[in-house]
Amino acid sequence: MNFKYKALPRKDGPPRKTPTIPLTFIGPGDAIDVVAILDSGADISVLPLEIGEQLGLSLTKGKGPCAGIGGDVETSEDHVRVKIVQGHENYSFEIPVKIVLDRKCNIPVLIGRAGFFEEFEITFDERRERISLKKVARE
Amino acid sequence: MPTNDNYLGYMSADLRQYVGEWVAICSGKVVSHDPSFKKAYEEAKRQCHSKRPLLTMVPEEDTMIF
Repeated sequence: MNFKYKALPRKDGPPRKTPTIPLTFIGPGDAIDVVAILDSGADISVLPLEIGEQLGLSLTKGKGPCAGIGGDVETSEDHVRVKIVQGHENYSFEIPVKIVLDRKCNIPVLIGRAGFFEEFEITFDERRERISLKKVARE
Repeated sequence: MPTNDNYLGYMSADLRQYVGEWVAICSGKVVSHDPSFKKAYEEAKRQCHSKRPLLTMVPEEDTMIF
């Protein structure tokens, strides 16, 4: 599967080319189609509170502070099913996620390494502004 | 899974006016936007009827990065 980088606007300065991918989160409460930022620097995927609530994920399990570049925030931890499809390729698996419990923290969906990067051989092609996901067989 | 229409709509959309907001795309077009995911999502579901909208957040400069 190949996805092109998207030029995301900034308040000041030129747009920033960003590796984003479309996927579906399937939780006990709802299924939501989102475009997420693929973040190879993140240990684990991160969801804002409102998406965690809508999906019906736990807001109490694994509660604790989570350190990020922007500082510490309170998070809970759960698992959610992700589905990613392009053409004839169709993959679905569970990943761990942290849910940011601060309602004022309006963050995009970040897909980090845990549970996701093991599923694919992932190439960030900065020159061609393209992400390639090649499914790997799990041992 | 996001429909191809919605993903192509996202890729071609000019998101400059939505910095700091959630944007919902249905049938390839932006149908709602709001700083609250829930408000953007509910309005999009109302407009999309049986179709599922595609949601994305346009991050601000100071968005927390993990």
